[in-house]
Amino acid sequence: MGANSAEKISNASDLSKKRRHRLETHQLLGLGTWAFMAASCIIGQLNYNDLYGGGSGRGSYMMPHRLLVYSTAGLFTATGIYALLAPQPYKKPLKFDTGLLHRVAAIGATAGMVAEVVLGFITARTADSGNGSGLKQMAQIHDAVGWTTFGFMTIAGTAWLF
Amino acid sequence: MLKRDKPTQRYAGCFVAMALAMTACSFGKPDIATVPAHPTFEIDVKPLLADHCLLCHGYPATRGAPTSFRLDVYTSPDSLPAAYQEASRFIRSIQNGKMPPSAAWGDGVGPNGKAMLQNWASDGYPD
Repeated sequence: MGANSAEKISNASDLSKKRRHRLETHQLLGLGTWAFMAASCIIGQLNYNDLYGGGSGRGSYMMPHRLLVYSTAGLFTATGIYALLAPQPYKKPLKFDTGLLHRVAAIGATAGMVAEVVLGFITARTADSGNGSGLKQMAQIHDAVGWTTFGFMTIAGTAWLF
Repeated sequence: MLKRDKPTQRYAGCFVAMALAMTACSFGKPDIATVPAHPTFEIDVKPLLADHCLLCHGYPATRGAPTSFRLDVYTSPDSLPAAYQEASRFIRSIQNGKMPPSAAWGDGVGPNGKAMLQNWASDGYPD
Protein backbone atom coordinates (compact mmCIF):
# COMPACT_ATOMS: atom_id res chain seq x y z
CA MET A 1 0.00 0.00 0.00
CA GLY A 2 1.47 3.34 -1.04
CA ALA A 3 1.82 6.49 1.05
CA ASN A 4 -0.89 8.17 -1.03
CA SER A 5 -3.42 5.38 -0.34
CA ALA A 6 -2.69 5.50 3.41
CA GLU A 7 -3.16 9.27 3.38
CA LYS A 8 -6.46 8.92 1.50
CA ILE A 9 -7.79 6.39 4.02
CA SER A 10 -6.72 8.61 6.91
CA ASN A 11 -8.48 11.61 5.31
CA ALA A 12 -11.62 9.56 4.70
CA SER A 13 -11.58 8.41 8.31
CA ASP A 14 -11.26 12.01 9.56
CA LEU A 15 -14.06 13.12 7.25
CA SER A 16 -16.26 10.23 8.45
CA LYS A 17 -15.76 11.30 12.09
CA LYS A 18 -16.58 14.88 11.20
CA ARG A 19 -19.64 13.76 9.23
CA ARG A 20 -20.88 11.64 12.14
CA HIS A 21 -20.47 14.53 14.61
CA ARG A 22 -22.31 16.99 12.34
CA LEU A 23 -25.13 14.60 11.53
CA GLU A 24 -25.62 13.73 15.20
CA THR A 25 -25.94 17.46 15.93
CA HIS A 26 -28.25 17.72 12.90
CA GLN A 27 -30.44 14.95 14.42
CA LEU A 28 -30.69 16.67 17.81
CA LEU A 29 -31.47 20.04 16.21
CA GLY A 30 -33.96 18.34 13.88
CA LEU A 31 -35.85 16.83 16.81
CA GLY A 32 -35.90 20.23 18.52
CA THR A 33 -37.13 21.86 15.31
CA TRP A 34 -39.89 19.25 14.96
CA ALA A 35 -41.08 19.90 18.54
CA PHE A 36 -41.04 23.69 18.08
CA MET A 37 -42.78 23.35 14.70
CA ALA A 38 -45.51 21.20 16.29
CA ALA A 39 -46.03 23.86 18.96
CA SER A 40 -46.00 26.64 16.31
CA CYS A 41 -48.66 24.83 14.26
CA ILE A 42 -50.90 24.18 17.27
CA ILE A 43 -50.61 27.74 18.64
CA GLY A 44 -50.90 29.09 15.08
CA GLN A 45 -54.13 27.14 14.60
CA LEU A 46 -55.48 28.52 17.90
CA ASN A 47 -54.45 32.00 16.72
CA TYR A 48 -56.28 31.49 13.42
CA ASN A 49 -59.41 30.23 15.21
CA ASP A 50 -59.26 33.20 17.59
CA LEU A 51 -58.88 35.84 14.86
CA TYR A 52 -60.82 34.36 11.93
CA GLY A 53 -62.73 31.32 13.14
CA GLY A 54 -65.32 32.90 15.39
CA GLY A 55 -63.09 33.25 18.45
CA SER A 56 -62.88 36.25 20.75
CA GLY A 57 -60.49 38.04 18.36
CA ARG A 58 -58.49 39.38 21.32
CA GLY A 59 -55.22 38.14 19.84
CA SER A 60 -54.07 36.24 22.92
CA TYR A 61 -52.06 33.78 20.80
CA MET A 62 -50.38 36.35 18.54
CA MET A 63 -47.23 36.90 20.61
CA PRO A 64 -46.73 33.23 21.63
CA HIS A 65 -47.12 32.24 17.95
CA ARG A 66 -44.64 34.92 16.87
CA LEU A 67 -42.02 33.80 19.42
CA LEU A 68 -42.47 30.15 18.49
CA VAL A 69 -42.12 30.73 14.75
CA TYR A 70 -38.97 32.82 15.21
CA SER A 71 -37.48 30.01 17.31
CA THR A 72 -38.58 27.37 14.78
CA ALA A 73 -37.10 29.32 11.86
CA GLY A 74 -33.80 29.70 13.75
CA LEU A 75 -33.64 26.01 14.68
CA PHE A 76 -34.63 24.93 11.15
CA THR A 77 -31.82 27.05 9.65
CA ALA A 78 -29.27 25.65 12.11
CA THR A 79 -30.45 22.08 11.37
CA GLY A 80 -30.11 22.64 7.63
CA ILE A 81 -26.66 24.21 7.97
CA TYR A 82 -25.36 21.20 9.94
CA ALA A 83 -26.66 18.82 7.25
CA LEU A 84 -25.19 20.86 4.40
CA LEU A 85 -21.82 21.18 6.12
CA ALA A 86 -21.48 17.43 6.77
CA PRO A 87 -18.64 16.23 4.52
CA GLN A 88 -19.16 13.25 2.19
CA PRO A 89 -16.08 11.02 2.34
CA TYR A 90 -17.46 8.48 -0.13
CA LYS A 91 -19.49 8.85 -3.29
CA LYS A 92 -22.89 7.21 -2.90
CA PRO A 93 -24.99 6.18 -5.91
CA LEU A 94 -28.45 7.74 -6.11
CA LYS A 95 -31.15 5.20 -5.27
CA PHE A 96 -34.55 5.24 -3.60
CA ASP A 97 -33.97 4.58 0.08
CA THR A 98 -34.80 6.21 3.41
CA GLY A 99 -31.88 8.64 2.92
CA LEU A 100 -33.34 9.91 -0.35
CA LEU A 101 -36.84 10.10 1.18
CA HIS A 102 -35.37 12.11 4.08
CA ARG A 103 -33.72 14.54 1.64
CA VAL A 104 -36.82 14.97 -0.53
CA ALA A 105 -38.95 15.62 2.56
CA ALA A 106 -36.34 18.06 3.90
CA ILE A 107 -36.37 19.96 0.57
CA GLY A 108 -40.20 20.11 0.80
CA ALA A 109 -39.97 21.36 4.39
CA THR A 110 -37.41 24.00 3.33
CA ALA A 111 -39.69 25.25 0.53
CA GLY A 112 -42.55 25.31 3.03
CA MET A 113 -40.50 27.27 5.58
CA VAL A 114 -39.51 29.89 2.97
CA ALA A 115 -43.16 30.19 1.88
CA GLU A 116 -44.25 30.49 5.53
CA VAL A 117 -41.77 33.28 6.26
CA VAL A 118 -42.96 35.22 3.17
CA LEU A 119 -46.68 34.58 3.85
CA GLY A 120 -46.33 35.31 7.56
CA PHE A 121 -44.51 38.57 6.83
CA ILE A 122 -47.14 39.70 4.30
CA THR A 123 -50.05 38.72 6.58
CA ALA A 124 -48.55 40.51 9.60
CA ARG A 125 -47.68 43.65 7.58
CA THR A 126 -51.18 43.77 6.05
CA ALA A 127 -52.84 43.39 9.46
CA ASP A 128 -50.49 45.94 11.07
CA SER A 129 -51.45 48.47 8.38
CA GLY A 130 -55.11 48.04 9.41
CA ASN A 131 -55.98 46.63 5.99
CA GLY A 132 -58.43 43.76 6.40
CA SER A 133 -58.81 43.01 2.65
CA GLY A 134 -57.96 39.40 1.83
CA LEU A 135 -56.46 38.90 5.27
CA LYS A 136 -58.50 35.79 6.07
CA GLN A 137 -57.54 34.14 2.76
CA MET A 138 -53.85 34.88 3.37
CA ALA A 139 -54.13 33.48 6.90
CA GLN A 140 -55.85 30.34 5.53
CA ILE A 141 -53.01 29.76 3.04
CA HIS A 142 -50.43 30.43 5.78
CA ASP A 143 -52.21 27.90 8.01
CA ALA A 144 -52.40 25.22 5.28
CA VAL A 145 -48.76 25.67 4.24
CA GLY A 146 -47.73 25.52 7.92
CA TRP A 147 -49.36 22.11 8.46
CA THR A 148 -47.98 20.84 5.12
CA THR A 149 -44.48 21.91 6.17
CA PHE A 150 -44.96 20.10 9.48
CA GLY A 151 -46.02 17.02 7.47
CA PHE A 152 -42.80 17.15 5.42
CA MET A 153 -40.80 17.57 8.63
CA THR A 154 -42.53 14.53 10.17
CA ILE A 155 -41.78 12.44 7.06
CA ALA A 156 -38.14 13.57 7.15
CA GLY A 157 -37.86 12.58 10.83
CA THR A 158 -39.69 9.28 10.39
CA ALA A 159 -37.54 8.34 7.39
CA TRP A 160 -34.43 8.86 9.52
CA LEU A 161 -35.79 6.44 12.18
CA PHE A 162 -36.10 3.49 9.77
CA MET B 1 -14.23 28.79 6.98
CA LEU B 2 -17.25 28.06 4.79
CA LYS B 3 -16.23 28.06 1.16
CA ARG B 4 -18.73 30.12 -0.79
CA ASP B 5 -19.25 28.74 -4.27
CA LYS B 6 -21.23 30.50 -7.01
CA PRO B 7 -24.60 28.74 -6.43
CA THR B 8 -24.42 29.66 -2.70
CA GLN B 9 -23.77 33.29 -3.61
CA ARG B 10 -26.62 33.19 -6.12
CA TYR B 11 -29.07 31.80 -3.51
CA ALA B 12 -27.91 34.37 -0.94
CA GLY B 13 -28.34 37.13 -3.55
CA CYS B 14 -31.86 35.93 -4.40
CA PHE B 15 -32.76 35.80 -0.70
CA VAL B 16 -31.48 39.34 -0.06
CA ALA B 17 -33.28 40.64 -3.20
CA MET B 18 -36.52 38.94 -2.08
CA ALA B 19 -36.20 40.39 1.45
CA LEU B 20 -35.58 43.90 0.08
CA ALA B 21 -38.50 43.60 -2.36
CA MET B 22 -40.80 42.45 0.45
CA THR B 23 -39.85 45.33 2.74
CA ALA B 24 -40.27 47.84 -0.11
CA CYS B 25 -43.77 46.58 -0.98
CA SER B 26 -46.85 48.37 0.31
CA PHE B 27 -49.56 46.34 2.04
CA GLY B 28 -51.80 49.15 3.32
CA LYS B 29 -54.82 50.81 1.71
CA PRO B 30 -53.97 53.65 -0.75
CA ASP B 31 -54.16 57.30 0.24
CA ILE B 32 -57.36 59.29 -0.42
CA ALA B 33 -57.36 61.03 -3.82
CA THR B 34 -58.26 64.57 -2.74
CA VAL B 35 -58.26 66.54 0.50
CA PRO B 36 -61.73 67.86 1.44
CA ALA B 37 -61.63 71.40 2.83
CA HIS B 38 -64.34 70.75 5.42
CA PRO B 39 -64.45 67.03 6.19
CA THR B 40 -67.04 65.42 8.46
CA PHE B 41 -66.80 62.24 10.52
CA GLU B 42 -69.45 60.23 8.69
CA ILE B 43 -68.45 61.14 5.12
CA ASP B 44 -64.67 61.47 5.33
CA VAL B 45 -63.12 60.36 8.63
CA LYS B 46 -65.00 57.11 9.26
CA PRO B 47 -64.02 55.57 5.86
CA LEU B 48 -60.39 56.52 6.55
CA LEU B 49 -60.57 54.89 9.99
CA ALA B 50 -62.16 51.81 8.38
CA ASP B 51 -59.18 51.56 6.00
CA HIS B 52 -56.47 51.95 8.62
CA CYS B 53 -57.75 51.52 12.19
CA LEU B 54 -60.98 49.60 12.68
CA LEU B 55 -59.48 46.17 12.05
CA CYS B 56 -58.20 46.42 15.64
CA HIS B 57 -59.92 49.50 17.14
CA GLY B 58 -63.45 48.56 16.11
CA TYR B 59 -66.07 47.28 18.47
CA PRO B 60 -65.26 45.05 20.19
CA ALA B 61 -61.53 45.81 20.00
CA THR B 62 -59.43 42.94 18.59
CA ARG B 63 -55.79 41.85 18.16
CA GLY B 64 -54.72 43.11 21.56
CA ALA B 65 -56.00 46.68 21.04
CA PRO B 66 -57.17 48.49 24.20
CA THR B 67 -60.86 48.04 25.03
CA SER B 68 -61.11 51.41 26.82
CA PHE B 69 -62.33 53.33 23.72
CA ARG B 70 -63.88 52.76 20.29
CA LEU B 71 -63.34 54.51 16.97
CA ASP B 72 -66.19 53.05 14.91
CA VAL B 73 -68.72 55.63 16.14
CA TYR B 74 -68.65 59.42 16.64
CA THR B 75 -70.12 59.24 20.13
CA SER B 76 -70.70 55.98 21.91
CA PRO B 77 -74.10 54.80 23.11
CA ASP B 78 -72.33 53.24 26.10
CA SER B 79 -70.00 54.96 28.53
CA LEU B 80 -66.85 54.37 26.44
CA PRO B 81 -65.08 57.37 24.88
CA ALA B 82 -65.51 57.25 21.08
CA ALA B 83 -63.99 58.98 18.01
CA TYR B 84 -65.06 62.50 19.03
CA GLN B 85 -63.60 62.24 22.55
CA GLU B 86 -60.48 60.43 21.29
CA ALA B 87 -59.99 62.60 18.17
CA SER B 88 -56.99 64.66 19.26
CA ARG B 89 -55.23 61.55 20.60
CA PHE B 90 -55.72 59.31 17.56
CA ILE B 91 -54.90 62.15 15.13
CA ARG B 92 -51.64 62.76 17.02
CA SER B 93 -50.79 59.03 16.85
CA ILE B 94 -51.44 58.98 13.11
CA GLN B 95 -49.51 62.21 12.44
CA ASN B 96 -46.53 60.96 14.49
CA GLY B 97 -46.47 57.68 12.53
CA LYS B 98 -47.14 55.68 15.72
CA MET B 99 -50.35 54.22 14.30
CA PRO B 100 -51.16 52.07 12.46
CA PRO B 101 -48.23 49.87 13.61
CA SER B 102 -47.10 49.36 10.02
CA ALA B 103 -46.66 53.14 9.52
CA ALA B 104 -43.00 52.65 10.43
CA TRP B 105 -42.70 50.54 7.24
CA GLY B 106 -44.47 53.15 5.09
CA ASP B 107 -47.94 51.56 5.34
CA GLY B 108 -49.56 54.33 7.37
CA VAL B 109 -52.10 57.00 6.48
CA GLY B 110 -50.95 58.95 3.41
CA PRO B 111 -50.27 62.72 3.23
CA ASN B 112 -53.78 63.48 1.89
CA GLY B 113 -55.40 61.47 4.69
CA LYS B 114 -53.28 63.29 7.28
CA ALA B 115 -54.15 66.69 5.75
CA MET B 116 -57.85 65.76 5.82
CA LEU B 117 -57.61 64.87 9.53
CA GLN B 118 -55.87 68.20 10.16
CA ASN B 119 -58.75 70.04 8.44
CA TRP B 120 -61.26 68.05 10.48
CA ALA B 121 -59.45 69.07 13.67
CA SER B 122 -59.32 72.75 12.58
CA ASP B 123 -63.11 72.70 12.08
CA GLY B 124 -63.65 71.29 15.59
CA TYR B 125 -64.22 67.62 14.69
CA PRO B 126 -67.72 67.92 13.08
CA ASP B 127 -70.00 64.84 12.95
